Amino acid sequence: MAKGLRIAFMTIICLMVPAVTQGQVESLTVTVDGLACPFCAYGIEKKLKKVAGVKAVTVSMQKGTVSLTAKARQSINYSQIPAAVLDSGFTPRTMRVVVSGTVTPDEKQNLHLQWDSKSLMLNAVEGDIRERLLSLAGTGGAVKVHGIIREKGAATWTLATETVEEVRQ
Amino acid sequence: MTSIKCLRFPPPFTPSFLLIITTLFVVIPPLPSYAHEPLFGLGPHTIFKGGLGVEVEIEGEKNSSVGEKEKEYALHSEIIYGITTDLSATLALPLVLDKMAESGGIKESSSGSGDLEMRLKYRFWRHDQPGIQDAAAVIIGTKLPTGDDDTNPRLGSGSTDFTFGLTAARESLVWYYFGDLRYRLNTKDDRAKSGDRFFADVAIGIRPWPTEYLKPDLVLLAELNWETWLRNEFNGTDVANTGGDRLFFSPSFFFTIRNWAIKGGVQLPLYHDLHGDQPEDDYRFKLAVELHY
Repeated sequence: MAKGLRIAFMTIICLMVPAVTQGQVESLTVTVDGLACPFCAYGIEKKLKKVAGVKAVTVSMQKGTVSLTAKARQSINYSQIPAAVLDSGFTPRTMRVVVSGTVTPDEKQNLHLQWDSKSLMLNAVEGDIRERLLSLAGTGGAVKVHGIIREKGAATWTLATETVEEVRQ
Repeated sequence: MTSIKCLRFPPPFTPSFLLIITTLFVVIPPLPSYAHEPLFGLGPHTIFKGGLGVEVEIEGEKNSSVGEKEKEYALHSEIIYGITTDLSATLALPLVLDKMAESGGIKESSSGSGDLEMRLKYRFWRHDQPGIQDAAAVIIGTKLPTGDDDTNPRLGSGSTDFTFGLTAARESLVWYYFGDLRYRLNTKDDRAKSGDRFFADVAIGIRPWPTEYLKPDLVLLAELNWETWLRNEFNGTDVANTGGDRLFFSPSFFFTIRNWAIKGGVQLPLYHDLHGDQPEDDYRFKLAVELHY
């Protein structure tokens, strides 16, 4: 009985942990070239809504951007974005993301942002931001990183860090 | 006028038959027009990969001269499918609502299905910049003799015809520029052959009120449409009162909301140089609703 209660209690605790501690690509804004007519932009809305984890798609004609927000407790599959934009007849450029996760250094002291079973190498991390991330890496604390995500070779992605927020749990 | 033309042919070709032939030859082949493309010309747009477009279009035309009058109203239904991002296929089935030819006091009219058309458009070049898309495409199409041809006037051409086209465009958030060249190769019916046609079109468009996605969007276009029509042939001989050149000025509009579009326009004749004695174009018009999903 006591063991059963402990399991039930632990299950509830796990379910109560905020989604942010699991980490995810919370939002993504892709700059799209060739976006010239609203009617044609329907294709990009339709294609990007099919990307795993995407809840909403917002197209800005004047800015030439498409912004995506993630479904609750889900992560946007950023690797599907370039193909989806190309399939809709436009050219994807910069992908700016907000990703939450935990920071881990590797043996070469490169920093990685991890969530679920995914990992992104953090680029352009220097000075104070790097020190802050290293200190958080020691504690296992969660962070929210704003930056530009890029594909470096086959299925390898990096995140050029612009700003970092510490997530209080 | 028609009775004179009648004398050029041996029996059993009656004035009615000649009227039918004449009317048939002035029918303009319908072209796929995606939203934000010229309504009477051709543009390089292809629907997104896997996308489906449905278009229903009412079009009409009236031609007349002293003692002769021709009118046609048709409903065109088109299905467009994006095979790839750059390759789309179109299937078009026209339904002629009313086709009327009147000459020398004889008036005849008919209605029914027209000739089935299939087209492929391949966008072979695209260059994207912020807020601008430049593109060029080729089109190949065929028209099958599926229309009713036992009516007066005939609704089908009775021949398998082919269209080849080349188009290029620049589209931006405010200005649109289009240009195209097309050639329609007509093949022979039992004994008659409609003259081939050459088309050249230029268009300029403006979005007077740049807008955002999901908001109502209006684009106004002005087209110049040139047509050169070679003489028809009958039993290998040129038919006198056929062929010639035409130039139209065509204002049109596109109104869209998300994946819905309404578009319409009219072709007004600026110049005619038609061989012999033929009815001249008074006007042509199109009004269409298009849905992409």
